Amino acid sequence: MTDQAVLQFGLAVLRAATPLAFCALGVLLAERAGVLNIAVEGMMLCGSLAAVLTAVLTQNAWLGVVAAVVVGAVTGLVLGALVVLLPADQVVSGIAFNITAQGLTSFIYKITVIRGVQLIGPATLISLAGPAARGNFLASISPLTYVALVLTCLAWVFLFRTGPGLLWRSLGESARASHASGMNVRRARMAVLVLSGVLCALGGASLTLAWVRSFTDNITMGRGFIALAAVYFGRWNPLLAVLSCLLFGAGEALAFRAQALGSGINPFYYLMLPYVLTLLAVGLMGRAVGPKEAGKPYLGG
Amino acid sequence: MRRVLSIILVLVLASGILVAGCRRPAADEGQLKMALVLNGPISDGGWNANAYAGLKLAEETYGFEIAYSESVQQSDYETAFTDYANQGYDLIIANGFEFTDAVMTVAENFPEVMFGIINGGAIAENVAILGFDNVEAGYLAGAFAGLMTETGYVGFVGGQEVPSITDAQAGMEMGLAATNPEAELISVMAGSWDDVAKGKEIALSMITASNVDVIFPFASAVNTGVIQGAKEKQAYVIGEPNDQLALAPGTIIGSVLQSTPDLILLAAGKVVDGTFEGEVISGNLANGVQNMGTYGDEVPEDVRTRMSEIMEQIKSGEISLR
Repeated sequence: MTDQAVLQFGLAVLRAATPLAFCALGVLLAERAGVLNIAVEGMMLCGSLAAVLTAVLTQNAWLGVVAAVVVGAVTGLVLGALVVLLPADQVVSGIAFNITAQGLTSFIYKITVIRGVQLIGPATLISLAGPAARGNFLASISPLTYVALVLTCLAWVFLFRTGPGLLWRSLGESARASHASGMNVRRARMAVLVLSGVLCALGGASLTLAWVRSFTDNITMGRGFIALAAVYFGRWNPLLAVLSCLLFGAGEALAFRAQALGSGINPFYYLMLPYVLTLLAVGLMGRAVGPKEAGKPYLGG
Repeated sequence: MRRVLSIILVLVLASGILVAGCRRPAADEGQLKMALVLNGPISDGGWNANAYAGLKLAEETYGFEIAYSESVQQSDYETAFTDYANQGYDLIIANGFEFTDAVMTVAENFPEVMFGIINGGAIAENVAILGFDNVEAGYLAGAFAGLMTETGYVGFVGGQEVPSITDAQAGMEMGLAATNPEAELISVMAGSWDDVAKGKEIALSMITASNVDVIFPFASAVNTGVIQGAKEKQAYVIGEPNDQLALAPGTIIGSVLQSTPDLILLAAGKVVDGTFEGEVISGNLANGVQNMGTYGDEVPEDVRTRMSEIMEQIKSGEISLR
């Protein structure tokens, strides 16, 4: 491979990994506070539509990001109302949320198509220096990718090196103990879910603003669930989780490039590559133990 | 109050069933009747909408009396076909491979009724398969790409490794060899029919890693992503199955047309002539179901002439694709 090919490969990995990284962070922070966020796929879908729709209507990509943040916060509130305030079963609510989100986004998309709105997002978020940037690797990366990487480091420092981070993790280990130490568990978990919704929606925004620049029905195609898996592979550690997102992205980029080289091997084997790579990584990592009370509703006062 | 409301509601819903159950009065004896059974809505803007357009075309062209059942559930497939057969419909079109079993079961009991399954999986005395000649479609794309490529590398994107796709791929290989023997075909399967992001990624990797400059995507909604990626890297795309030039002028340089309405019309015509039989009715250049769409401004005159020649040769049988 030439330098140019290596560089393009690197960009492909980052493109594929950025949406996953945002979502993985969203899921991870929620689980660390004791809430399973199965709704990640639906939140991502809502964010991806809100982002591209706003960006197209206002012709400003960053307003698209803002819209994704707002919509993400709302999705977090909705899920929170279900699984924290009621509290309903977290898995069932998450699945119901995903189905609703898919129907709703497809419906809104259909209306925009009927109204003749062309959903081709502005190119400003594709790379720092616009699509014309060639050769300069750092400038060819989307600003959203940098945001994701910075947030990953911040999340790690916050969770493992600060006092509030310790309290956050205690919510996921024992909500009763957190309550006993004076924390309002419900309010804290609501806040956590809002943040989680924002991150997942940002994942969707990076898909439709920094990668494909358009929307179609169910455009996320299960990427939210891959992010969910990345959290487990990354043992609830932000750095490792995002690393497994990168690994998955590398597998996907490699699969298409290896096929293009044409070695006569059945393409199904190449398409398996990202999943096999991720499975191998899990195997090598060994046993992982997650937050003890993730998925358990808090019924106390 | 609540009880009254619920009774009214039930009555309203029940009357809906009555209305839905009403059939149009039988037409005059002798008028040909044609029905279409679909498992999705005719308003989907794609697969089912195309089949419905074919039904309307048959009505306009041959004066068929038409009827259709949309969004039919799998458990109701056989009922739907039996209903139409009992009402004396002459031709019943099933829109998709998944109807094959139900049609085969019903067709046995109604030997005088003709059935056509689009992309069907089996034929019988009164059951025909309606399909496209994908080898020919691929050949056209390959020949065109061979004439337009400057780098000598041409790309094919398939959805999954299934017969319709490998046929098109093989055809493209032949077409490319015919117009540009030195050129190389790079084939990639997306493993999906609707993941736009994968389509874009494949286009970008073909262009940057393999120096491809003309791509023929044959993968349904994945095509959208391929077109986007090609546009960003200034490569050419050959569209399908509709005339897609207006979608991305400057990127799309022409389209290979596969017209489902014309394919259905072809089958309807055979019923009118009395030549409909259990066979594979294959839409191709010769019967006007397949064609080349509008060329982009980038396509020089000699390439257009060459393409017309090739199409004539295929029609006359001078170029054999079998």
